[in-house]
Amino acid sequence: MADKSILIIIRKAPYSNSIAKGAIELALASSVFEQKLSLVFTGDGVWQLLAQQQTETLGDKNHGKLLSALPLYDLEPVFVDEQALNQRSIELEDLLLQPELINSKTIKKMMADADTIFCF
Amino acid sequence: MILHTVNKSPFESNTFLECLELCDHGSSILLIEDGIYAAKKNTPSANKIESISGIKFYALSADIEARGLDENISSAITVVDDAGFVDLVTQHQSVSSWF
Amino acid sequence: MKFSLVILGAPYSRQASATALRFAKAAINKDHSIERVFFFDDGVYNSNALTVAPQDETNIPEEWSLLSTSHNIDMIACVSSALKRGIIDQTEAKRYEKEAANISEGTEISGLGQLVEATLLSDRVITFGS
Repeated sequence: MADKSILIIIRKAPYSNSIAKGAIELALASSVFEQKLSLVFTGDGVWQLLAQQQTETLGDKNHGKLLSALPLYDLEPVFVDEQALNQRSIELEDLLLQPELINSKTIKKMMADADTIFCF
Repeated sequence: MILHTVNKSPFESNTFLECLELCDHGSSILLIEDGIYAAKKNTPSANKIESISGIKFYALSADIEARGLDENISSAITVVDDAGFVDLVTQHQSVSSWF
Repeated sequence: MKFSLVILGAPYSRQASATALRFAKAAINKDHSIERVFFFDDGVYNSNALTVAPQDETNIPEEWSLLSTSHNIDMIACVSSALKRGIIDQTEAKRYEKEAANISEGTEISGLGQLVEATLLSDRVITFGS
């Protein structure tokens, strides 16, 4: 089988949309295949990265905890769209995983380099 | 060269604009389902489409016809049928679906 | 070319599945092949064999089943999406002591690894979002 790279662009907020969790689960599943995989958080996807998520009252699993599994699968660094953070007044130190800031030009380049794009 | 598909109305969500933001020159955008409303003549999104060069815009005919917009699609849009959708996929190196 | 399709929308609730079905048929008509269809998230409702459509409407899950058997297409319902939405096969029905299974003919319940594998097996992967 050919060696193919995957890019997952994450642009949905957590909790209200189950595909937010699905996107992370897909990333974890891909690590078994030793494929090149990159994760980019953009749009409302950047809300997933907030460190202070507390879900005891909500009753759902903590999405932040799911994200914390990414480094255990060697899925780091993750990338985050600087403009999406700025639009939402989110500071880098409020985020989990110490993501690497990138701009839209870099994201376009990553898309051009990927064999398969999942834009979840 | 990437084929982007957009299935949300620009009047309902930011999806179309987010896609545009990350669509590189040489790539294409195919409007499907409610995405075709972005192609309606004399709207902010259609005006935007008409002002952009270097990106090709397409819209899916079945969705346009079903929604009664046959006569009202911006001239900057190329209308394709389902077979045309398949051709666009083969002509681009990958597909990114914005929903 | 070999295509794989990812379907994220439930039939009837969202247009995604109907769009994907038309795409699949158009691709086959043009002598391309569909390598795998992966039902993910609400897309797993497309594998519910108990779906009953009104006479003047298409039975979308049945259409997927027919397409799978007539063109030998591998169809997978994501296990983590399927079980929590009540889409189960015989094995899972036994394991969780449920009265019946409802997975469509031609569709298997399996993990997300099958979607990753689809990216390796296909020339293009197309997502049909909800």
